[in-house]
Amino acid sequence: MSSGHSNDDGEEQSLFSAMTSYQTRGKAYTGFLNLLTLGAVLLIAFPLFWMFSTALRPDAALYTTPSSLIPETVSFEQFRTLFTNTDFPTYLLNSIILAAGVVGLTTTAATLGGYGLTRIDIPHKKFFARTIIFGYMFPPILLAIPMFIFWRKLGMINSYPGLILAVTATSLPFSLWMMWKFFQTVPKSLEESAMMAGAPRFRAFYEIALPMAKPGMIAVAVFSYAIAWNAYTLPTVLMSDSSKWPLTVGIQAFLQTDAISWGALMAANAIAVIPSFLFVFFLQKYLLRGFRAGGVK
Amino acid sequence: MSQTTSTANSITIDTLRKEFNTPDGTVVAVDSIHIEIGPEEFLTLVGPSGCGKTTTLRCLAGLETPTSGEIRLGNRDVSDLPANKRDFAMMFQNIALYPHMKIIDNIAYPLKVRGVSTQERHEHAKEAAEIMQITDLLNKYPGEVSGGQRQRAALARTVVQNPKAFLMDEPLSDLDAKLKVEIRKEIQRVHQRVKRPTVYVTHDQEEAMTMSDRIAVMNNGGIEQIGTPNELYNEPANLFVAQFIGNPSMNFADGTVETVSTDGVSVSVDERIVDLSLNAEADLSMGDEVVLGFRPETVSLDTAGPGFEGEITLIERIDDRMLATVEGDLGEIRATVSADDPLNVGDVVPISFDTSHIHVFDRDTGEHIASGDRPSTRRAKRGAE
Amino acid sequence: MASETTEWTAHSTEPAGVKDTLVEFLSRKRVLMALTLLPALSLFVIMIVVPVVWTIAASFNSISAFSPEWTWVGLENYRVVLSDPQFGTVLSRSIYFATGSVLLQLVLGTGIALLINRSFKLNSVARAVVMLPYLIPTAIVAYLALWMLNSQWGIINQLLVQAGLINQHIAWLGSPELAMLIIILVNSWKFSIFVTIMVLARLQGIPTGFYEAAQMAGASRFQQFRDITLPNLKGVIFIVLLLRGVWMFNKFDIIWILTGGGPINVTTTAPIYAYKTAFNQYALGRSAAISTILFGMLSVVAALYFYRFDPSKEVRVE
Repeated sequence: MSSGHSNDDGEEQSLFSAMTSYQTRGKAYTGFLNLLTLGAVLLIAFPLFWMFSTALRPDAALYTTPSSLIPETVSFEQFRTLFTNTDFPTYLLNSIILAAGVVGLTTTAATLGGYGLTRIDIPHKKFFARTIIFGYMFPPILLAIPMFIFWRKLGMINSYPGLILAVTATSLPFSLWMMWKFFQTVPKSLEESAMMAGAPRFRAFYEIALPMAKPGMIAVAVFSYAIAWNAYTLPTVLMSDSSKWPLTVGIQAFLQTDAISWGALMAANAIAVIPSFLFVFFLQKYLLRGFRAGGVK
Repeated sequence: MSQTTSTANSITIDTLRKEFNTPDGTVVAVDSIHIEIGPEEFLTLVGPSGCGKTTTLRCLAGLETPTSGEIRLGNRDVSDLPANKRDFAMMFQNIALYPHMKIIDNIAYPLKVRGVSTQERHEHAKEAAEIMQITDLLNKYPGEVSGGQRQRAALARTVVQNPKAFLMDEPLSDLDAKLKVEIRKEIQRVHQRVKRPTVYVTHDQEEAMTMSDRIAVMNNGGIEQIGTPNELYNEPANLFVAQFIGNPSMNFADGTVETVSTDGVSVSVDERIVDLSLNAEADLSMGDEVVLGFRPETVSLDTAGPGFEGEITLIERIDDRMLATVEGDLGEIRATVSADDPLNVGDVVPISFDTSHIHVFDRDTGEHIASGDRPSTRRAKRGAE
Repeated sequence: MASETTEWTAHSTEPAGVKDTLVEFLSRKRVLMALTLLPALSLFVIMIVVPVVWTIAASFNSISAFSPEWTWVGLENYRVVLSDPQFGTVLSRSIYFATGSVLLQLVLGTGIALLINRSFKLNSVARAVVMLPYLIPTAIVAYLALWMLNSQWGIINQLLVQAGLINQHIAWLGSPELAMLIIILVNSWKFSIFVTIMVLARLQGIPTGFYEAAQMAGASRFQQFRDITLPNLKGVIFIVLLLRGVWMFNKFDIIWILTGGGPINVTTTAPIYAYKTAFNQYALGRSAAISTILFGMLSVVAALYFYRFDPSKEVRVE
């Protein structure tokens, strides 16, 4: 519509109106999509909001209908109850031990293994690749019952090293896969250059390759932390001693025994959720790089 | 480690062979090659990609294990020494500076590995950085400096190592044309300063021609020819070397030997006769199928010669000259002519070439048979008579 | 100049210490191979291969959850499991749960990915919020759902009554008609994001040039979606269907916490059945047989997956 001097007014008119209607339609469309997005965000955010909102109100405000969406008085009573009157601190500690063990074991084994699979000439790599992905597909329940049968034979039921090993089995395949792929993004020539400079191969590995693999290692650490912190099926099956339960299993006991109020239960939930949020918030930039290289998940 | 002399620092690649196992079977990357590199020599391995030049260098470095053959440093067989024990320095195609270390620590890394104290190794690194004119970058990370500066740092790192030999694997291939020339000069400067055997790998014949004392042209895992840049240019051993060395590359025309006499040889090309005066007692006889090779500089498009002609299809200007592509009796011929020549695309011009600069190759084997009898060589021959 | 070179040679080399000797030892090819590969390999074998083989062996025995005695019964466990009419029902429930969950997650996950892949104000906030559910342990999601769906005090009942959509509070998870549906919904609240993350990664991998070229060619927004976006998402969608399908088929935790397989067994899927057989009926041998059957089904899916997608291509195996 560069020439505004068309003689045929009618045509110009219709062209113009077609354009505006296209624009308004476009605007309406964008507005509709924005509304959908808002709806999705609210649907996702509301349960979380409700969790914190419940956790922050006193017992008296829990059982009223209709409940106010925002607590009328903010109180930390539920958190206090949780830490003083229940086994929550034990569960929390157990979860931390479990997570630390799994993260340490997984990150070490996956980093070493990923390096070996990338850099060392070994036969049957194709078979290894398939086995790893097959291991990744294994759901926890299909490992839990076998492990229970096997663990009982070894007398490892109710043992923390046993649980850590078991949970590591569910976090290792994908972690190994991620590190395998990650080391391939680290140019081999960096290590070769170190070797030419006189460094033995192992030194080139820990002085050059390892620092380069840091984003991948952080991604693996966070991933395996998430698996360990999430673990419910394996500890349920493998740990019968309640003093050894992690948070995920312990909170269920609160429910079944009616030992605490829903408020305290939500406070427990909130505490279980916060570390994950913090990790991801602070390590975002590493996670993106690490996971991008890892693919699949 | 004193200033070692002569042969102690020479390198011998003795009947080196390297095979790789692939799913499709064994591939021979390097096929029994033999090269000797003098103690102060700059030798370039040049060839198209996949010719085995990089594999040869990596075997030399100790990064690949040869299938058979030996690498000798002086008289010592180093074939079984791992890369870190050979004390060769290497520059890589992708530069290979460690991204997590500052430039100064990158340069000093070979000394760190040798257990030199931080202070001492930083001093050496600064010295080397001064030579490379990158002192102001020492505290930056490789990601923060330009491509040319990274190359300088990588070069400084090899210098600091004070190695027994320098190995360079296409270090300039990722640089733009101007930087290439700049860093090329730096590498030559370093070579002249430290005087150690240097093996340089490139696919760029121009790089090879300008930098090297000698060049080994490789193809299909073997060596086609080793010689000085002049030898390769003027006396190519075969068709492969002839077309690989020189830019724009040599023109070729198929011919058949018609007569051989004391005066010379006449060859029929596209039903026309070309009379040649050849330098050697050329082993040619009637009916031999040959290929005539002549460089674009020796082609003239204004003098009527044996009667060849063609149409100009493309004119490219290069500095003060023009490169004309002519399509005609001899197929596609390229000629370098003066930029002042009044030539246009579409002109039909006569084609002739200076027969004293011609090369005759065997069409079957590709081997060089004879060269044109140039005034200089003729004079030498007369003197001998 | 010569002095300069000699100066460079002057760096003192320390004699090899214990550490250097150790590093040299670790640098040997076989030692390095063992050091890097053995930890992962042994974990793999001890924690996955051995228990699985052990379970297959156990499935031919009668084993009580109370005593470690094994009594060889041959194929008896399989006969009992396969002739149990409940087993077929349980499998079909698993398939129902898996299909429903995967389809819902695929639609929601892809939809959210397409929505937040646009540029709009507060885009980064929306992205962050959308990712949150994935960070919450599944068990915690289940506890939160139990509270929100509580028939007496649950906020969902309250809001629906206030909105006039229902007249009285509903026991969502106690209703045989609704329980499975509710579990699928709760489950998808968390796991749709898995699809979102994968689809988003793929969407961002599509060069913008594709869309620009299509616009130049006059393609409408819908045509661009159909001809560029959708074909590019095919691969991801296949992986999602398969992987999520396998995991949802074998999903245990969320169902176990929300309903324990009830009410009147309507949410007893295959993994719940295997668990109950082992720990409520104390028949470990029979449970092992169920597990073995589930391994078999998993292997079939894995074979299908490997047929379409060769993992070794992604790691450049020579």
